[in-house]
Amino acid sequence: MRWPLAGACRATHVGTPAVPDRRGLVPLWTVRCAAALIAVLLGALVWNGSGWIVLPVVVAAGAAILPSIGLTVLTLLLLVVAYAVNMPAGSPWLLVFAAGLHAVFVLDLLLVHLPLRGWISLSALRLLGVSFLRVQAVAQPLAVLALLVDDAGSSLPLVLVGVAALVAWCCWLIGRRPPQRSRR
Amino acid sequence: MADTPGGHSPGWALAVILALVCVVSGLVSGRPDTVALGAPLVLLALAGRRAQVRRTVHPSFSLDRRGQQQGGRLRLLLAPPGTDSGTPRTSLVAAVLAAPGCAPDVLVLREGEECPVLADGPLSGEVEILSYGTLGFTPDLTHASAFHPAPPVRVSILPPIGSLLARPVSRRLVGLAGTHGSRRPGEGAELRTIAPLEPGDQLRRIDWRSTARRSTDQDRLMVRRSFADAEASVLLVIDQGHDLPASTSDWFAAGSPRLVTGSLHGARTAAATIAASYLAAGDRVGLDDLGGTRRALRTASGARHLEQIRARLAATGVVPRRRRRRDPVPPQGAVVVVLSAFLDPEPGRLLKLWHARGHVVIGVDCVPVLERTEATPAQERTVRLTLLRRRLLLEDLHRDGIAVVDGSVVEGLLADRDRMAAPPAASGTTAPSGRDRPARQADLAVGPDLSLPTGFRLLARRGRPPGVRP
Repeated sequence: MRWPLAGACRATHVGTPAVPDRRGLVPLWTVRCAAALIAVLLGALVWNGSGWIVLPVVVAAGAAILPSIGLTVLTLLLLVVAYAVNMPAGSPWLLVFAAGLHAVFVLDLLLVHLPLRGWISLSALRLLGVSFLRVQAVAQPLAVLALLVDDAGSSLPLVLVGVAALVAWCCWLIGRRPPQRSRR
Repeated sequence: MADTPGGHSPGWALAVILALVCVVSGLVSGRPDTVALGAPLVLLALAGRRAQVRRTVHPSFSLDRRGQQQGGRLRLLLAPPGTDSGTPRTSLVAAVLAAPGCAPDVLVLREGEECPVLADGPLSGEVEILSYGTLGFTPDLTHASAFHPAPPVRVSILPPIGSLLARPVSRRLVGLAGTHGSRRPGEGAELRTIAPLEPGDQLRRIDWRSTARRSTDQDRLMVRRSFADAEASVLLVIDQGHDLPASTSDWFAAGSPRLVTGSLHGARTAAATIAASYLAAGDRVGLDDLGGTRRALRTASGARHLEQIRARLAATGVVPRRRRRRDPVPPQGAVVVVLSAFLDPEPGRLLKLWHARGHVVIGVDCVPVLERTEATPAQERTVRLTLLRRRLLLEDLHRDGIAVVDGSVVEGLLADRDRMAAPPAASGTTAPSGRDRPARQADLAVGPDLSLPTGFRLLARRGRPPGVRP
């Protein structure tokens, strides 16, 4: 009796997956790595020097791989709470943190909907990026204003100037016309 | 993760919760920077209240006619439905693709974006090669539509045609036109005799040279008499009861269906090649199946009929046999070719029946070159017993003088044959290279010795009456 059989290695043969046949596609694992990396870097920022850094690393990696909204919530809450507790008030890292938290939110929420393997087109990534920048165009001045308020303390004129500048900026953003598409 | 009927999605809810956490913790601790941390989330929550993903984002697949075959794979085009080009495309679409036997993959595209996809197709036959569905999101990801499954992509591949074969024909040919000679007197090209003119002979048959030579006193006229031309009829009977994969481990495979090449592909290819060989010579070919599930394709001739036969062959799949009221009756004087894996006695019984009724019968064994990959001793015993039973059935036919040829390898389709065979590096075996069936199946798995071309050539030579042109 032949056991194990010579060709038994082929017993687990599976089909060949369908693959896209064009350029301009990014493998989804790149997006997963980017989401996990941003979360880990932000975690390293707020859990600086602590052994608890392992916790956000594991959770962020899990949120990037597993399609679980719970892990996404946990990742973001760990970052927000750790920032509120560990970071000193008026830290300039706020600007980075506001952008990073938003990026982790967007990427994790994108990955929650999708199977493990796949591709995303550069055009879709560009659309995500434009949407991200539109939000950040308001969020970043707001963060600057918050730092200003924190630093200036009781300097009311400075705060009022900052608020007026932010309102003007927001009004300009809302009031401007979207770029016209050429119809050919 | 789709939107709820009220219009709120988990993404929107998550943005609201995190924004509240930031704002409350900032207010409690008196830190404006913590409040500012939640600004992007507040903006997303506000934007998400108005934005709704279009609920009609349903891309569809269409076959790309420009380049269907790429390295043995089919090229499909993921194309959006026709929409107004002036409408701005501001949504994302995720197409989840699943090939048979594979985990699902996803393709995230901008709405309206096209993307070609390469998927494995069958060598012949009609199968579903890709299941897919779509879902859409807003670019800020606060809203998502529900997953929308689409009908699977189904393709039908016509069986290929190999090199033309020799054509065994019956001695009892029918018809008065065709390319075969017969033993019946009639209007043909084959000379039968030269005889004196009799009433009923056509004047154009008078042979003036023979008249001058034999009728010295010019008192009688000599005419040339000939054998009638005739056409051959062939009935192809395909056994749809089994589709035996080349890899024996696939005999026991369960779960999701996979694209596996089996004996039915061999049967389709051999049948198409046989049909093309006879139809090219102007003969008539019909098609029937052992299962009796569809109406038989009546014998006819012509190139269009070949396409009909190929289309019918492409549509054949594994169908359980049902009890027939009566056995199929081949046309008078027809050659009957039964294409089967010979796993049960039914094909043999019909071959014997038609042989006894005077038809020329040929069995075509369509089991591919087997690759022994059983994983357990029980599987190995099952395979051995199946092959033993097959061998007994084939030996029984051989004893009754019924020829069974090997239809697993069709000349002119070597690339096809190589695809059917196992990859040598993986299994440690090599694909057969000879024209006749090599010693491919060890011990009990003995199949016919003759390949399809050789077997048909020998049968054509054997069945030809002396003096009759092929």
